[in-house]
This record gives sequence, C-alpha cells and structure tokens, in this order.
Amino acid sequence: METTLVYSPLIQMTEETRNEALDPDARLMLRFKDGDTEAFERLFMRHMHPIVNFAYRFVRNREVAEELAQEIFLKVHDAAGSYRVQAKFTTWLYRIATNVCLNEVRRPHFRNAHQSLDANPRETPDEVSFDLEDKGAVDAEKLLERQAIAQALRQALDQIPEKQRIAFILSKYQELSYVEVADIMKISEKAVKSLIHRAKGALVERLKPLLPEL
Amino acid sequence: MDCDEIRNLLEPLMSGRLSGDESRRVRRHFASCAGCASRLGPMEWIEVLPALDDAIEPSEDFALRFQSRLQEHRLRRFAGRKPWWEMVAAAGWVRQLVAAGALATLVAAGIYLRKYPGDVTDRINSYNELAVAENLPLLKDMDVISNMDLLEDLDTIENLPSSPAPLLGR
Repeated sequence: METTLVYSPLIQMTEETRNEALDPDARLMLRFKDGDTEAFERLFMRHMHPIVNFAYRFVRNREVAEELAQEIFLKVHDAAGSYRVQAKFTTWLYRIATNVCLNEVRRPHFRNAHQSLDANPRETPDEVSFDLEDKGAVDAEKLLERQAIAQALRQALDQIPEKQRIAFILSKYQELSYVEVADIMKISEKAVKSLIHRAKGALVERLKPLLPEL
Repeated sequence: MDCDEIRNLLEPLMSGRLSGDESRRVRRHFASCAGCASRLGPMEWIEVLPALDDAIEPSEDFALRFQSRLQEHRLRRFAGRKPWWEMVAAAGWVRQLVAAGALATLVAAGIYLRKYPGDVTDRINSYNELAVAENLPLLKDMDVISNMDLLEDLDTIENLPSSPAPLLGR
C-alpha cells in the first residue's frame, strides 16, 4: 500500500508561531538566551515577589530569604545558555528555587541558628490586611486569632518531613496545582497527593489544640 | 462570586485542581466568611489557613541590590575566563610537572609507534602462538583434537598427500 504525504501550509509551524504558543516567561527566557538582557530584568521583576516569599517560607527570615532569592536568580541567569523549553518556565524556576532553599536549610549553621530562633518570638509579615467588606464576614478579633493560627501553621511546617513540606508550600502557599508540583518535584501527581495528605494530617495533629477555636 | 459558587469550589481546591488567583480567592473567602467557615473541618482549615499568612514584600532596594550583585557576578565570570596558558601558569608546580610528564610520554609513544609500526603486531602474533603451544595438552584432554601426535609430528604432516583419498570407493 502506498502512502502519500500531503503537505499542508496550515500545519506548518514556523519558529515564530511556536514561540507564540509558549508561555510568556519561556519566551522571555529564550530572548534572554539570545542576548536580550532586558528580557531577564523583566523576568526578575515578574517573579521576585513569589520567589522571595517562597524562600521566606523555608527560612522565616527576610534578609536570608532575599539573599536566597538573589542566588536563585543568579542561577537562572547562569543557566540561560542551557535553557530548553520542556515545561512551564515556573516549573523550572521553582525547581532551582527548591534546590537552593533546601541547600540552605540543610546547612548545619542554619539548623543551629534556627533552633535558637525557635525559642524566641519569630518575625512576622509586615502588614496583615484583609478585606472584611463581605456580608457575613467574621469579626476582626476572630480574624486575628486565625492569623495567629496561620503563623503557628508556618512554624508547624518546620517539623514535618522535608518532602511533605516542599509539596505543601508549593501547593498551598505558592498556589500551584498538583500537576505543577509533581513536575517541580519530579514525582507523580499521585505521590504529590499522598505527600500533601500526610502533611495535612501531621499539621492537624500539631495544631489540634488551636483548631476548635476557629 | 457568591457563597454557593465558592462552596462548590471547595472540593476542587482540596484535590489540588485549582491554582493561582482562583485558589487564593476561595481560601480567602472561607477564612473571612462566617457562614462558609462554619462548614470547614480540621483538614479543610489546614487548606484555608495559608491564605491568612500574608506574604512579605521584598525590601524597597531589593531590585537595586540584585542589579549591582548581577553586575559584579558578570564581571567576575568574564574575568574568570582565562586563556589556557594563564591557567597552566596559575596551577601549582606539582600539577605542571605531572602535565609535562604526561605530555612527554604521549609524544614518545607516538614517535616510537611511527618508527616501529610492525614491531607491536609481531609481538602480538608471537604471543598468540605461544599461548596455543602452552595449551596443547589442555586441548588434547578436552578432546578438541583427536590425534595430537599428528599435529606435533610436522614431518608426517608434510608427507601427507595434497588431496585426501575418497572415503567411499566408486
């Protein structure tokens, strides 16, 4: 049987259309790879806020978190030459960020400093603002109580196993879907579900005395 | 979005199907709405609480500090690219000595092989012959060759007729 290949200009994908199909961050990264330094600056401005916060979830210290965020962006800068579009840009970025943060929290000097810090009241986020305009909104006092428990949750996170902590932070604080978390951690979506389920169970256990007040 | 719509999104939120702004909106609503919050169990509260833990703002000079660090980093990387002779010069004397020795050995081996190319093949052939001779008794024991005497008696081999006689008479 003879097969004839029909060429259709409609299915021809030029370099331009392929780039248009990419996510905007990946396009910026490819532009930076081609030497456009402004594209890197734009990437930095787009992601500096979530990356500083991501690092902050691990180290709970603003200065250290900013230092780590800088290190993460320097790694992105240096890896531009070998960058290939395989997944979403954020997946690649968070993979680098996770490695940098884990390296930091695994260092003995960090552990020692962290243990002594745990004995003292910890740094709190700058401003806690919340929209209470909704009809039926909880009263301000209740909200403050919940915010205190939210901080206790952040502390309880330090006590659960590393993989569970990473999966929980990426999913609940960085607000990534399980599919994205699975890509970042290079595990299956099922494994992410299992990690998060166990993390939640462990956190409920630790926060049990506080939760009924909610 | 009203409360009913938000409540319908609790299950997708719990199973990790929501992301970005949508999941933030659902979490924040549950945390601040008395009616919706009353329906949450402990596991759901763990899901909602991160929305109450506000994000920190990077310092005002964060971007500026990064820019200057990046410039320094680029300069250091550029300065780090030295030509090979400078890298050799910067290496310690032990490394220089080892490198020189390795280079001299390579050059000497190259010259030798160019000058006596057959010598090496001859050595390999004589080694193979020696190995066969050494293993003749073994080959005999293993019944590889049935009549070893014939093989060892070169005179008999030489006197054999050039074409073998037919096994079956015509």
